[in-house]
Amino acid sequence: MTPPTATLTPPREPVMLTIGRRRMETPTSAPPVQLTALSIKDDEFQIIANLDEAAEGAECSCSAGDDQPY
Amino acid sequence: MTETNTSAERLTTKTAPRLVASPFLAQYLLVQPGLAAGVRIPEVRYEELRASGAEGRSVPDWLTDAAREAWGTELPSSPVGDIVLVRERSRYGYGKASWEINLGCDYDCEFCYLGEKRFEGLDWAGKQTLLQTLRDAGVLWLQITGGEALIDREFGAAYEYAHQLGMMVQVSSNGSSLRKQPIRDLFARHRPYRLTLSVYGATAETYDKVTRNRGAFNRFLMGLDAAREDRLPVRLNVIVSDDNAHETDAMVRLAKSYGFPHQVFTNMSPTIDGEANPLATQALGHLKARSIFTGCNAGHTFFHVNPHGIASICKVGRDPSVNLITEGVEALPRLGVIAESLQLRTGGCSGCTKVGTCRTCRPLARLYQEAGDRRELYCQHGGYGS
Repeated sequence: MTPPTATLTPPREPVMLTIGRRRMETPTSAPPVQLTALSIKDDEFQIIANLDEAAEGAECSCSAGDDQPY
Repeated sequence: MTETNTSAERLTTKTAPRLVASPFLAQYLLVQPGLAAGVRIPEVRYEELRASGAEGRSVPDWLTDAAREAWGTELPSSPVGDIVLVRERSRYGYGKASWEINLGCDYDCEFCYLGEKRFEGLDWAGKQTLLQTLRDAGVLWLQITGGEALIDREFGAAYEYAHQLGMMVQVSSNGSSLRKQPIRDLFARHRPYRLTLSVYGATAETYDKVTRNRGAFNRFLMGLDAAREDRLPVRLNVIVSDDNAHETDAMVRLAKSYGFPHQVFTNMSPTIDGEANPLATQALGHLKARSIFTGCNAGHTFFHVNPHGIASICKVGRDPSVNLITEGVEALPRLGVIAESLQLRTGGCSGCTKVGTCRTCRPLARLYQEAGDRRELYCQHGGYGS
């Protein structure tokens, strides 16, 4: 039963909205684990025997991915 | 072969490049898809290749020397564009990604962290869109995983397309389909950077019991035979659970007998939905403490994508996420902000005094907490790691 003290909600007024694209996030400048940029001269190239070594900076130190290898 | 954003239809008719020159995090690399060796080059030489490709110039002498030295390859004196795909710089700065192409699996391991494994994912057009998005994000190394990746109907097409886009593709698999000729032909055409296979037992009795798939062990061995014959870059993950722990040494011997490098994994984690079931299958006497957590670039330099194109910071911290199919590559930088919030020591880890020696990242700790908070499995306050 509706209590006698209840009052009707006043009809809602239309509210002007502006619909736009979500603000774009900008890539953060520095990752939490610093990437090391090895120096290399403009006139040289360096052979990398195992690219895993070069790809290390993208890895996770927590090995969480390794906890789920199956 | 300077990369352009042409339509997916046109790209599918292209062949995979012989060499790829690409920015990668804070450096520039020259790689040959499928091979472990590579070449680090200065920015000026990356720019030289980029310009040479656009202007139809021939392979420079230094590139001929580098290819000979790195891979023992003699490059023809062709236009650079015929030999090298020059990946464009990406403003997003990612270098690696993992992608669950499909959660469906032909095995039914009790400890699987995926929980319910449904055969569903993007259609082919969606897969192409996703792979282009990964390219635009700067991804050079892509891990395709599952479920069981090789049984996805469009695995082969997606794998080839990723190569055409200039990615180094790593595949994680249970190896059940590795013996099949179409897969062998695919990997012969485009050698994977790495093929990571899980080992669930050293005998048919144990392996078939763990995977709940009769005949699976024999098919697995046939796959290993094929991989060895085809000289694929296999790594084996020995997975230890309470059902196969008695064969741990035998599994390691199996790996060694094939000459494949291996790692032994003993820690199961809760499912991605926070269910505790996998924890009950751990071989408690074999558990090893993780190394101390020293920080993580999840969401900043790498990310994970599920079968529907939903990207998260990693395989563990899946929520919040961004939808790469509906929002596109522009959504990716939000992962950096999400990562920062997920790494905060909140919830059960608020005010912890042992953060400096913690071995569990915050997203993984949260999964454990949701799954019943057995602190002895992840937290120093429960004795973990002591």
